[in-house]
Amino acid sequence: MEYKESESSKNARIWHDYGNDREKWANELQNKEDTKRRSDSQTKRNVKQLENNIADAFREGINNAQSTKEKRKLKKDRDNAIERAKGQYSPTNKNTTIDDDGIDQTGSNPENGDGGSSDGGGGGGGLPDGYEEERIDIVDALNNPSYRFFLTKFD
Amino acid sequence: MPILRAGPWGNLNSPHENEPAVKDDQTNIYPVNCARSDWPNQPWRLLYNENSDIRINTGTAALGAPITADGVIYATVYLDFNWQATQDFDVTFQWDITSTSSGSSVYPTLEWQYNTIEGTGDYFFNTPTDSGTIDITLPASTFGTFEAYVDGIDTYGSGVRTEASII
Repeated sequence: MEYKESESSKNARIWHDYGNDREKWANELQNKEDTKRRSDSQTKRNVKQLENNIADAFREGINNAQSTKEKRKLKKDRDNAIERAKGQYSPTNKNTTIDDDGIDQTGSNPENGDGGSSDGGGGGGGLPDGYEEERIDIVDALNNPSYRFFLTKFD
Repeated sequence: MPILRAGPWGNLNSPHENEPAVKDDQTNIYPVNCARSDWPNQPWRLLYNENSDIRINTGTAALGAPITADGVIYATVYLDFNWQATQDFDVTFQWDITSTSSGSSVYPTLEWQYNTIEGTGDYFFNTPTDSGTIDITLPASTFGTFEAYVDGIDTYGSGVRTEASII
């Protein structure tokens, strides 16, 4: 004999399923928001860390600068470098926009230098893993004492 | 093309030595200069030795600073420095030898030489006039070493003064 579900039972089952689905949707939404919040916090920490690294890299050069003009130029270079670094983390930058699924689309961490800008052209892409930026004195092409920033690494 | 800085002191066999506490040519390490310019944290300088029959004194001096040795019979000034340069540049070796007694000869002798880590070098010796200058062109080098001396002898043994500088 074929079982025929009563109308009231059917309604009860639909409400029950709807309740389960609603709880599931709410959990998913909460998870997405948590993931986004964690990503935003990580991004802010990365930006702050990058700012500190850039400031550290320039500090000795600024302290050792021989003239106000040179100090001013170095400070401007530092500020530009920080702005560029911030730009890399900007929400409008596709490379670092957090997608709705909470996954960083670049799959890279610019701070570790394992991706991001591959041209190394000073776009704030960070340093290669294990390397440090050091200011090293040189004699320039016109016999003047100068300096360059080098990436160095211990064996 | 730029070259990396050596020094702050050194010699041809060891271009990266720390500045010694005692500045003495017996240590065989000398200041490393950037052509004729100061480094940001190290002024141009040479190591001198004022050597005579009555006194020996060593120290460092700036470009153009006169170094004076006083003796009774002889007085010699030695000047030593290292350099790095991407272009040839000129320095002037200046000297002046005088006797405290009029009419006495001072028989000057003068010598300079340089050598570079690339293997180039030059040497000059002369018995010049009592005072004068010589222009010397030092070549571009990742590390070069220069040394010079000028010496005077007072035939009467009454006193001689030798002054020299690199300008």
